[in-house]
Amino acid sequence: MDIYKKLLATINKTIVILILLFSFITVTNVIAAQTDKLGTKSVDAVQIKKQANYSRKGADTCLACHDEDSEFPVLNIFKTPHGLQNKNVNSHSPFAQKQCETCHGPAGKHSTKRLRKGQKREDMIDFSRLSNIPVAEKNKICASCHVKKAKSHFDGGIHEVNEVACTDCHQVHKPKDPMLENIAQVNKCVSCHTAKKLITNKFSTHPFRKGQMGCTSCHAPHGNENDNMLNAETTTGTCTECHAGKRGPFLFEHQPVSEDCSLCHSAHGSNQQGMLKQRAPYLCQSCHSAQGHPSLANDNEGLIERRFPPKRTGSAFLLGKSCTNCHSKIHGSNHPSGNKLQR
Amino acid sequence: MKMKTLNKIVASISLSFLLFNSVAIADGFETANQKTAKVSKWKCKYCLVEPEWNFELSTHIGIPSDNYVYGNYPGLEQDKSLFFSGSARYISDNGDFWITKFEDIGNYAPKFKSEYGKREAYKLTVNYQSFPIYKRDDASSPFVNPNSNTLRLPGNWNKSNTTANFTDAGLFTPFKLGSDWDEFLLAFDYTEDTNFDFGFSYQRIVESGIKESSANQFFQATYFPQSIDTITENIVTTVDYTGDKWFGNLSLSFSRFDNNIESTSFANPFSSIDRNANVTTVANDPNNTAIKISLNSRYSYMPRSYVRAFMSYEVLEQNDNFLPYTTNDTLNLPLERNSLNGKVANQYVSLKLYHWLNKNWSIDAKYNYKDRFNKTTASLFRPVTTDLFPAQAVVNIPYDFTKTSAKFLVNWRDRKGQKITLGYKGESMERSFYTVRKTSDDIYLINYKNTFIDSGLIRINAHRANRKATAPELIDLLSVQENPLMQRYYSADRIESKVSVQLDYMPTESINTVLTADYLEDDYDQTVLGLQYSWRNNLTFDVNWHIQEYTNISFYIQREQIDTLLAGSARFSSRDWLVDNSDDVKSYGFNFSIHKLFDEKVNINASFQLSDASTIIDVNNAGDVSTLPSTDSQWTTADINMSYLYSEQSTFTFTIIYQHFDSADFSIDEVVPGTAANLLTYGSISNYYNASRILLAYSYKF
Repeated sequence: MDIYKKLLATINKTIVILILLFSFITVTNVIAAQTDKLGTKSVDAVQIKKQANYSRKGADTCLACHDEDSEFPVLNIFKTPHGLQNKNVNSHSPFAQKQCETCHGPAGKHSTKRLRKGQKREDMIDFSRLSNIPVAEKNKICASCHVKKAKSHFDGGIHEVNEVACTDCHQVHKPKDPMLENIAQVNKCVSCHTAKKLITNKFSTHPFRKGQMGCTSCHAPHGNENDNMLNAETTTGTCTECHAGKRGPFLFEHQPVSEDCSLCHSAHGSNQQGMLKQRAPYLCQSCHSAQGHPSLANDNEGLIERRFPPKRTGSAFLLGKSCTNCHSKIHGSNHPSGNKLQR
Repeated sequence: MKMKTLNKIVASISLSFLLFNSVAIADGFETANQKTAKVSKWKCKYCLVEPEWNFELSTHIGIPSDNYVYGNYPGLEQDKSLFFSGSARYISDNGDFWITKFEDIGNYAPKFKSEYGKREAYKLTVNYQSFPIYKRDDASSPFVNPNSNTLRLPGNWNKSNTTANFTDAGLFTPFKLGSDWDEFLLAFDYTEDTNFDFGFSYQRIVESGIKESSANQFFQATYFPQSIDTITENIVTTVDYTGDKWFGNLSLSFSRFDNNIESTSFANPFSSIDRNANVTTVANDPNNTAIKISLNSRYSYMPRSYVRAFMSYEVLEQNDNFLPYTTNDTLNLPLERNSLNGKVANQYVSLKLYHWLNKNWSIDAKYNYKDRFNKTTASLFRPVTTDLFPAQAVVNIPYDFTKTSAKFLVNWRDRKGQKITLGYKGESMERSFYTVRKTSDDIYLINYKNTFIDSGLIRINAHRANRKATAPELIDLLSVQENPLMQRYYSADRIESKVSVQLDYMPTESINTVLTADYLEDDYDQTVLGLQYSWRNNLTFDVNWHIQEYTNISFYIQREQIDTLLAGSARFSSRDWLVDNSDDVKSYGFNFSIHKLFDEKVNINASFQLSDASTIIDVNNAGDVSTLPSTDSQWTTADINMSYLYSEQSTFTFTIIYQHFDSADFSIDEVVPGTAANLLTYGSISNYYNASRILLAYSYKF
């Protein structure tokens, strides 16, 4: 009967989820279609730039307006490799090529000095997130120089496929790209991966708060074929790059350790000591029955040390590190008497 | 769906798509109709020419508070009152560069990074950072030499069966629990205009200090300070080839773990039932090595469409000498082998096709194979349980497994910001020496993304996974057979449902809002004992308001809840109780920044964060529901940073940082001798700190 009720409840939930999902799809599609019909979607700037001509003075045309007091200050680019101007040795630097227009496209009518009343300045190739330029077009511009990075992994990688532009993360007009600093990098990544925002705020976590680790300590954001874009082929392989002592092989192994660290640990932080997914003994009891161990923690009168005769101070099987008070070699033991991971 | 059938389907579809002619996706903006740029006439007179050399030196003078009783990594170190940061930067117009940066020199957590090289040619990187992780500075134990690997009791220590007799504080030695991590990295990258790139990196991680550890003697457990002194070294060399359509990468890596303390012994503080078992020795993590070779090849047969093959082979080895069976000489027996000669081979193969059929449709197909082959010899061992009882002889189990998975996704999009993905993923896992021989998972997924009202974006990702396991089997080599009612959660039948919704919306040009809701549910519907059910949800709301050109306010609120239901038993045959574990984390954050005040000389940034977490555990014992004392933690941080640009070269910065952490955990905070008769911990330890730091920094650029 229980199973039947459970099944019915699951089916009901699934139906509700599906209805909600398709309602969302329908509503947003209708809104999106209406938005297009109303013409709020502006003309793709890339199409304009295909016909536009380059400016007569190059960067001097742009910098006449875009100085440090403008709405879009750009001068910091000269503190970065993108601003190197020596054509002989920095052939790939944008400023050694067509300067600003290498990336932003030919100026065309954008540099018209005076606009008539009501006239809108012609768009440039704009890399901001809200621009109407397809992500593939933006990335193609970056990849025209960073060709190796694109060809090795990024093209077709998870971020590229999900329409993440290079410039959604990297800022080329800053003296130092924030993605190269761990703290700024974490802040940037969690702006999309918002559920991971708690990574720095959880009770037990990796050293993210002062920037000793960043997202790229474990993940490869430019893409590889590993699950979750991890640096190594497996979760365990990624963890043991630093925690190599847990790599073994041990004389007596604990199978989940060899298989996947994330079966017990939550690498993005947890409410429990040691980034455990649950506290012991309950995490352990997800896989092990408590035969021979008085592991019922409490009853309605409180903590139990033993039930008969009753004693109420709490049991060593519950307090402290619980199961690992005794089975402390939980990651494996190399002791010939360590078959129960106690030595 | 059977994996073999699925594999065939994936292969057939992949090959057939390769034969189609498809449409290229993106074109550049340069066309023959344009007038070419007359670059030779461009003067670039407004372009800045940075001086080749730039230096910056900062001196920090601060007042750190003295209350630093940490419980977990807080991101705040025990700062000294005077330390330095700075940078030296050389960038020449011919592409040579040398950038050196150092932080917190003179402090406990210094950082140093230096990059030297020539753009588009080579780069040498040297990186060093040290980060102490202070666990507690008020731990205590009866051992008089906590930094040793042979721990001794005081001469006048009276052994007893119960910790109630261990209350003489004068017999306990205080020590600091925590470790220092020192990480050093040396990397060299060489690139040239040909198709080849070369890379080399050497990483060295040294960990030292005192770690939490414990061991038991029969029913009595003792916490002892375990000294640690380990070195991990990783060397990686890579060669990349990037051609017009081909990319190849060959990588060879070597890793070594070296533990300078192979074991820790301590004198048993409890009275032993066997007077020959007065010393306990535990084996520490053994030295080991790993060698891996990997080959990655990718062929892009048209823009953004490619096939890729990746394979790696890794060998893990460990051959440390065994310790004796026991410290109890009356029970010790000769070992059958002196060391493990452990060897594991990991093989990994991945094949992928990503193909654009036309401007709207793309497919993503992937096949993974992972095999852990444990070549370690299985031998008979005669353990002595907690140095007291000779146990039944056991065989070390050379555990291994094979995991295969295949994924097939179809993507459709019509315009920017829009995408629908439908897909299937099949996974299969076979384990050796394991009661559940095989599990297989069928996963169906749908992802949806669309724009709305010009500045809104909605994302919905959902999947449903159904895992089936073979019936539990008896395994000959296992000395203790599994409880037939117990299903380990990671190999039990399970139905998983996940929905994630993200809504990005800009009501005005200056306000950006993001609302995210994630829900994950796992139902172990066939499990009698063990994990029955779990769910997790996460709700986040983020607002960023760009009030004016130099003024910004952001705020977020987030809640994560994790709930699990577990069935437990004290016997072999029935389920006796249910445990409902609820984790709840609420986090709030606020940030305000204003720049270029007072003649563009003053910048102010203020932020505040509060995280409030609790764990509530309800136990239902035959209808009698009781709640364990809750575990709570609260973390608050507030900081204000003000900088004043005194001149083009000089900046004064004033910083106030305040952090408060408070936690209550019934199983840690009050466990003093006498709490549990058979458990001797590090004493009553509270995870509490109230730390503040006031810093004045002066930076000079030249």
